[in-house]
Amino acid sequence: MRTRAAAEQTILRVNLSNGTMRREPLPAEWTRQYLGARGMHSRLLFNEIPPHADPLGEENILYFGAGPLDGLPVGNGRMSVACKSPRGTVAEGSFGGFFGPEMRRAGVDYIALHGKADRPVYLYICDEHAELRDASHLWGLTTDQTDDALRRELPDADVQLRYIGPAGENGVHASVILGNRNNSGGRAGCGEVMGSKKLKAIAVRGTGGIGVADYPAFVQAYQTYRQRLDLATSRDAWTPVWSTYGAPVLARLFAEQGNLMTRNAQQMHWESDKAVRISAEAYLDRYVTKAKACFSCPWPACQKLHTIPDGEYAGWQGGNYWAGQPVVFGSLLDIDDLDFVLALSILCNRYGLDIFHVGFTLAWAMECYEKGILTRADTDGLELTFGCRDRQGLLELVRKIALRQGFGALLALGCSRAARQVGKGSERFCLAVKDQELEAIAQRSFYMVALGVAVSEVGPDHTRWYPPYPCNPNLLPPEELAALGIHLDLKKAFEGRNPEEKGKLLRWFSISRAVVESLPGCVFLVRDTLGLDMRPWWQMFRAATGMEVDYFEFLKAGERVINLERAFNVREGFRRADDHPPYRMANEDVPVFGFRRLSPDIFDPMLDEYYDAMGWSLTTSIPRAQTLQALGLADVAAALQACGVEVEA
Amino acid sequence: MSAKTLTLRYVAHFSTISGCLEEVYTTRAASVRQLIDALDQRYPGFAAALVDPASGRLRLNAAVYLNPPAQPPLSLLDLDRPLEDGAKLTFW
Amino acid sequence: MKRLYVIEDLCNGCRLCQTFCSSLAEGVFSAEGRIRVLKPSGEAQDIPILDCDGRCLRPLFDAQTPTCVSVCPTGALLYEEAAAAAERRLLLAEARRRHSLFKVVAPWKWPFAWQGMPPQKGETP
Ligand code: SF4
Ligand code: SF4
Ligand code: SF4
Repeated sequence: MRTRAAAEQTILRVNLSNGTMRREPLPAEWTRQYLGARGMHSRLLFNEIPPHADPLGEENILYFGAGPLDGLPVGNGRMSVACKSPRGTVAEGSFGGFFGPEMRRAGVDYIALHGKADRPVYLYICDEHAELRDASHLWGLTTDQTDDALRRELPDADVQLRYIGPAGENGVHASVILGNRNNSGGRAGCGEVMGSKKLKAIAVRGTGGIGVADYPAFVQAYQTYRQRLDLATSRDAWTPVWSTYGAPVLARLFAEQGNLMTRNAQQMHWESDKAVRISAEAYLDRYVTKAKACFSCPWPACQKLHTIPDGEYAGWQGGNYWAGQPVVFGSLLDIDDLDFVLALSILCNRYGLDIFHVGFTLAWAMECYEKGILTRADTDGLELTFGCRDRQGLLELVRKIALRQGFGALLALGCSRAARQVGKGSERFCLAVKDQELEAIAQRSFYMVALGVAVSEVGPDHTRWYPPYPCNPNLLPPEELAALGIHLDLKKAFEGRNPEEKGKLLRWFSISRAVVESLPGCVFLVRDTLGLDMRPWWQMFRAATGMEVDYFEFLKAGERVINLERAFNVREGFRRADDHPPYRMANEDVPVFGFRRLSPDIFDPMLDEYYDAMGWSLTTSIPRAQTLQALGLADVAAALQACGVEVEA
Repeated sequence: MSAKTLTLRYVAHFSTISGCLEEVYTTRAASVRQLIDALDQRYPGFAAALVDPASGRLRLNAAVYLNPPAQPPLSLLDLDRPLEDGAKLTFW
Repeated sequence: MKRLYVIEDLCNGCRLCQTFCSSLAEGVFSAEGRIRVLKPSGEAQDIPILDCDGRCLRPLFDAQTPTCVSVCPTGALLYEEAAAAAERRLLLAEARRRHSLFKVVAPWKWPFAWQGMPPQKGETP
């Protein structure tokens, strides 16, 4: 068996235009500076994608990347996928499943896809061997059909696959990449870019092993990590709930707390009996057939497989009911039938559509219909009311989004671009930031979320600051927090609707989550003290790679990542004015509990505090020269200046 | 002491213990702690899942959310907080 | 005599057992364990296959417990005497009859009380 060192990071470069490939090692110091996965991608994106490149052209590069902890029993099989988004920003997303470890065992830690193929292809990697294969027979297939077809073609049960569905092929704005059937990633546009390259799938199989530098130290650090996360020992109310019932439990809690976006967030309260009907408990009872997990996850059942047992969709199979679906296909559309919610979700997975894109865009369209801005003449005859009684019609509309047909072609643009096209004030209730649809967590009651969503370099993405409902602040005494470099009044910081300390809190969350996503590890596993005390992650990184790096230097990697991602966006023209909550959140009060809109007197000081804490210009959001210098990113400042960007001292 | 009518919601494992997701419950309990004791009579194991026997405080792996009548919800830390008629409690 | 038992339909396919086992001899993590989790149809099935009686190469976390059993999050792996293993199976069956939670986790992994609870609504006792 071929053994590699955990610190080794190799990139496979594939030129889809001419079919050439080569493997090259990445600079060893990059592992120290950017760790891997998302971090490595931040550097590669900034260096390799020319400014103002056409996102759907030859110059855009699509990266798949694992990292130093992948393949080890703590990487959780997480990996990063990245490119320039068709919206102009960085597109980066995290994936679960089993693909990352398989890449590592094949000796490929990153795959860079340059150029564009002239006909559909898929990339097959098996250890040292790599080739592009014809994929004409797969083009047009749904993701489950693609999975089946490739498994017949590559009869090795352990081959790992990533693929797009018809949505990605057809250039639907926010299509995703899927793998392991039900794990998706890259909603910021990676599926669309993969489709533009005519790359249907990647298959990888690796038979090697990964050695760690200090095995006993690794095992010891693992024990601490595991103790924080195990059902029996975790000091966190989230652990038992999320690790078994899963994240959709939130909907029922939020429904009563003024936190559940209902009817396109016109309301923030949903009737309790409706929330019960689509609850995590109802899901577990009626649909779940077995527990699932990403590679090496310490939790028993964050993921599941489900089958709709009877009724109209009898026999439909899928997996994973996250925090998202009960909102985007439930309260947001006012649908309280779990069979139907799951059917919508299964259909999105089959077609490679992003559930947030589809849910928020449908909700926007329903509000347009309610207000008479869109009529049956626009919707191909569908009565598009909230609660939607025409279920067959709505499922058909989802298909039409993926195929960009009829009314579906408008919704395929995503709600921002669709609203700009439709006008008539509909921009005011399109719930998106930087043209990307929101996710499931309420903004007017979790100010850190509002800020995190507004400033995110990739558009709304909860993994950048998860969790908004953090651990018990009393687990770490103030002296220990200070020793860990956290100088925050945690009590204030954790108050949802108090703007104080939110900028500094978000800085901590952004940096520490960037570290986790670069190792990589799963950001949902920052329970107990693991979200504030990053030492177990640091110890596992050191033991695995053998790199002597000091704790604060290790955390700096996260800071570099955010600065590089910000610099990428700055070079593309994004500035402070783009870091803003959606119109509805900034201008309309919540109709319950007196929760206020995010008016400038609330939002602007938080934004100032965040930029200030990050060392960025308050007027433009551009990282200051001294900030970049201190992070060893002087070349980034120079590159920005060379493009005519004014970088403050 | 007058009776209070409460809405009780059981999330995740509390629904495994109570066997239901929510119920309207009338009680003479004065505080949340007394309510938990009363519920433990109905649903054996209920108190043990919420209260740390050593300290008498809320267990670190459990949570209680309280909606006082017509007020914003809060995450409850003090089990001796008095109960108000019409409150909603979510056991998590 | 204690030996290893597998409860296949509790396995979530995480491969922690296999990955840790692979490292016990030489500190190299791979897919080559004495326990392997087969996935014959993508992620639809997870089937742990043992080539080991439980005399562990190296119990990493507790001298009395095989490494694979220590790391298994769901309770799918047991290291027990035959009678005790049978008891666990019956306990699981009983727990599942009472509540759907135990489709996805073993009752002995569950930190809260569950015994003595009333039957689910709609369930005939
Ligand atoms: S917590 Fe969920 S998403 Fe994270 S590694 Fe585990 S199974 Fe995957
Ligand atoms: S008992 Fe030890 S050697 Fe045997 S399968 Fe389990 S981990 Fe491997
Ligand atoms: S550790 Fe347990 S749940 Fe995970 S694959 Fe092995 S037997 Fe299955």
